Amino acid sequence: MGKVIVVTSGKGGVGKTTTSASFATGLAAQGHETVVIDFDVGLRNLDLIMGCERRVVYDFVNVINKEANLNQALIRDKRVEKLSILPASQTRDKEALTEEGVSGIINELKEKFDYVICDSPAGIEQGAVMAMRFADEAIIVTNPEVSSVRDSDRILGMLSSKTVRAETGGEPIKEHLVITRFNPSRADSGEMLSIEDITDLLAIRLLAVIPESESVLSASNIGAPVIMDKDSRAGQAYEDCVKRYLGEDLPHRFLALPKKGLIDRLLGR
Amino acid sequence: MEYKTTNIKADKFTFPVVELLTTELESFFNEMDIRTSQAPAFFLNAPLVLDFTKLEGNSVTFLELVVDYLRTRGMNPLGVRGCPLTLAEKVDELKLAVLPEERKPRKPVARKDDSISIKTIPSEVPAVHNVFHTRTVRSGQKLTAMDGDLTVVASAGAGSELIAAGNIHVYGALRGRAIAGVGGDKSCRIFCQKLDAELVSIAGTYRLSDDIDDRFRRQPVQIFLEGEQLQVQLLSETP
Repeated sequence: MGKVIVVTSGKGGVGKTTTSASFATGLAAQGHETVVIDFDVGLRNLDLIMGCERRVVYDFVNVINKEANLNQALIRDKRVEKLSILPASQTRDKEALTEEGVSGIINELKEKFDYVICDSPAGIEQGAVMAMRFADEAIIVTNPEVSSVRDSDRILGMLSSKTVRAETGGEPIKEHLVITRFNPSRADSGEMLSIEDITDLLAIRLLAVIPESESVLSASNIGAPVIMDKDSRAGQAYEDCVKRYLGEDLPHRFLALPKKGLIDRLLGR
Repeated sequence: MEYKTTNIKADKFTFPVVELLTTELESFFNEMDIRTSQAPAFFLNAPLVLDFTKLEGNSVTFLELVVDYLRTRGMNPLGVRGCPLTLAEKVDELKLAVLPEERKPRKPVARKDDSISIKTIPSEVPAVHNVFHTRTVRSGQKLTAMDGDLTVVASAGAGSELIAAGNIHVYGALRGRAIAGVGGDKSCRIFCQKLDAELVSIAGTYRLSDDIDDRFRRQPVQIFLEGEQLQVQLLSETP
């Protein structure tokens, strides 16, 4: 039976889709059958980040409405063998997501895949609630910034009340914190919240710290999740994230500024 | 006959009695809005009794508008007392219970010159029921303890609400709202290990974060009423 992991945040634009894409890719690359689902009906992005936007025939809502079956809608990734994507609809909106519809699809996916990653939309309405509803675990993506932390706290509250596990008194959802867009120099100077501030405010286990990196934007433009860019600091941090999730005890890298070499200093970088 | 479907027994409850003092609806609405915003959880779904004893010159329309207003604000007017006979039919129509008059005269507990006064008439002290929470209170969550103390053995995040008829204890950081003494008990206190609250209130007297002195921020404090004034005191300074 597969594990359902929701990637959520509350706040928009913090890196949920970036994280979903890289995390799913990483898990698949480690040998696990993984599917990543875009729950942002009407504002779909996952297909762009994954680079499969030109191969979308049927989507999540088509399957809910029984206009297509799951196999017709799932897109196999061309680069990573064990990775599949279930895109969202662009023409409809979140009202199209029904509890029975979503539940049925998630159950079907749990039988075929080891990991079902749900890329949640921003906010706390229907789309976000449906994305977290059937989750066994949650990754909360947070920027080191006050409004993002406040919204993540709200989402954490909803994870312990609006999910099937919470409502049926099941084992609580395992929560993981991923801090994205972390800039060590700004954290040092006090402009950004520090990691200690964030973990103190949210009180959940830190899974990974992803540094701010220009490679994230480049990655989404070329349609390859940033974890595939082995030179990028963000990509490497996502690699660590997946390994840490799977049980390896890795220290957090990229918490401090890279030391400038002699050449860099001579050139004034 | 032996009854198998139900057990019927008498029980005692404490309800707020809203003593109506004026038929001026605007003022009534305004003041009720202020009251409910000060202690929102106290009034949400609250069963209320409307007391007409002190009201002069009321009308069927007045009763209807008052009940309508209260219901749309999420309150539950469930009965009346001291109603003149002219309102009897409307009371029946609105399905309100007719409750007995007050038996002995009591001094109204009005804080200012209000157009309405609210007092609770405990016929017997309700059993104390303390509520405990051991997980972080998240933004948007509301915890209530309507018959006792509320204790959180964790932190309460910004955007959360802690509401208690008794005291509030937070063995962690208090970052949200803490509303104690909601039934009118002015002896209630708020305790926390780190004060960062957005708003604190005891028996209706409240203070905003902005008005709390900086030297109390992020410190272990206790908050209590001295007369009508809220006092914030560092726990380290307690004699």
